[in-house]
Amino acid sequence: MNTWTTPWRRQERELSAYADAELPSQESGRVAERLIFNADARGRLAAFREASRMVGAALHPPAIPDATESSRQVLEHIAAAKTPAAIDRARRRVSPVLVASVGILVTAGIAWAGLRKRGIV
Amino acid sequence: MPTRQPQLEVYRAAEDTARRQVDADLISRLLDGDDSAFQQLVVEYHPLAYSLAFRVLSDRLDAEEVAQDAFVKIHTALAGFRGEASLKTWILRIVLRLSLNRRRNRSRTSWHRLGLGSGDGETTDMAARPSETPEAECISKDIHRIVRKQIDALPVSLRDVIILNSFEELGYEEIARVLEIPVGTVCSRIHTARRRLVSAFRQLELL
Repeated sequence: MNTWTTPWRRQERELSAYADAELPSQESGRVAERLIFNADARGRLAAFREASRMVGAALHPPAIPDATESSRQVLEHIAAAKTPAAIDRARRRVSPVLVASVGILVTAGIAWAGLRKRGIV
Repeated sequence: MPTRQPQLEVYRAAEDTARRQVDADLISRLLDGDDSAFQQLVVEYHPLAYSLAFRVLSDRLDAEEVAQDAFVKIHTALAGFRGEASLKTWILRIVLRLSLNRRRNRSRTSWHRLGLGSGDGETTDMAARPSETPEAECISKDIHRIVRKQIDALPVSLRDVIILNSFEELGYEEIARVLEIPVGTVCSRIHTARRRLVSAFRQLELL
């Protein structure tokens, strides 16, 4: 990056932060002054704002589900996970790590027995 | 022109302190096993959680499932909440992680690889404003679909910040806390994402 592009990029970043009202007041004042005299910067700021507006509109959820109903469903789910049957199911579930360990031990045992049978070990 | 005045900074700091106090009370009630406190937490944060999940997944049902999964996870993880971040930040972090996992798993399914998934805007039908004419509604849906496609085309690091930035109530500092990156990086990524989107929108004659 050459020395000419660096201040330009910094100014661009400032414009983007200015569009979000995220600049500290001193820097914000400096950008506002620049905007008065620089039509190009005003154009870029307008483009940033319009792009943000479009992103916001495109991502905005159409409708938010009823939070009370959702909380009821979440609490039901949690209560179901606390029933003795669910706890028992969870306890009975064998850990994949345990299964893998047993598998490795059995394979090693068979290999060792085979080698021993052939008199290699 | 909007500028971040010192008063606004003071207001944000005061709001943050008040929010932390409310959160601390809520957490202590939750840790005492108060179910009504958990219900209060879900009612308070569900709209935000659902909204974030929807913005990542663009699918109503997936977003609802992820939001509910997130609260179940939050319920089990509450004992380990250390309070280093605010409750809101912690919840957003969990929802974002679950949404990204869901998105990744979904993109692996052949249904989505063929572009037949429901996450392509069909579920946003209800987004149409009642006052819009059918033609205007159709055009606006098309534009939203194109915009979402451009957002999806961004690298993950840029997409995450631009999604979080689309929440009006989330400032750069809060986004930085959610993503666990410096504020300067947030600022830089938002700028890069915006520059790319402006360029893409211009090519598509949307701007």
